[in-house]
Amino acid sequence: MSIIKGQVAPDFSLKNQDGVEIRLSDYRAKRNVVLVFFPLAWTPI
Amino acid sequence: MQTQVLGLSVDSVPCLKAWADSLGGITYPLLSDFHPHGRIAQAYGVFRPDGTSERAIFVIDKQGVVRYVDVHDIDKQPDNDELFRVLAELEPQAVEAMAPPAAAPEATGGTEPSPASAAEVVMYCTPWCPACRRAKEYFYERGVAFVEIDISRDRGAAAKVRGWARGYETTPTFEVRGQVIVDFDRSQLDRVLGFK
Repeated sequence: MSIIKGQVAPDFSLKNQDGVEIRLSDYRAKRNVVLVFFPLAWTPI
Repeated sequence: MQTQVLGLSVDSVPCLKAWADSLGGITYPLLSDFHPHGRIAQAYGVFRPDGTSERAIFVIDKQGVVRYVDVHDIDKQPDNDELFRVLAELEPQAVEAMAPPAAAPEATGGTEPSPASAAEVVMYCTPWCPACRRAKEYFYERGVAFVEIDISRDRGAAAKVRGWARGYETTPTFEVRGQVIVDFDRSQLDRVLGFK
């Protein structure tokens, strides 16, 4: 069962492809975020 | 730009780096949910028993609330119309910002039609240049989307850089809204990007 509409998105901090840490809550009050999960690299996003 | 796209997979950082490079640079962060494996996918309920994640899209508004969820079949592409509609509701200007990432350059030979010509910020770099890494951090910190071109592989782009940098292949070199900036010069970038 995935997170549903109306729930608060769980915060996280992960490294990007350049090893830079990105935190979801850094965008709070600044931008909407489109979070795209994809199964594995080399597959279409 | 009011919308940030974050890609996320259970791959390791080097793998995502290699993939992003193979795509000719990508304008948004690809995040590594590798260790502990799939922890964030689990938190969002999209972790699969085979160790990968579902193909899923979550739109999160500025208050941190989920406004749209689309978990779709692994073989299917998402319904972009529906996604754009939700974004348009949240932020009328957002749809523009959701333009797809620069496609991998076509191997047409000759003078390359720059895949980045429409982008506001283009960074010409090489994989081994430390200043390029610092420049990327600079862009991430400021939330500036950019297109990256590896001049060690794109020799047409390398020739452009030589034209701007008195014959040298100086990296990073930037093209920001039509202005060329040779070398990583924060104050000049701040000025052109309107941060000062």
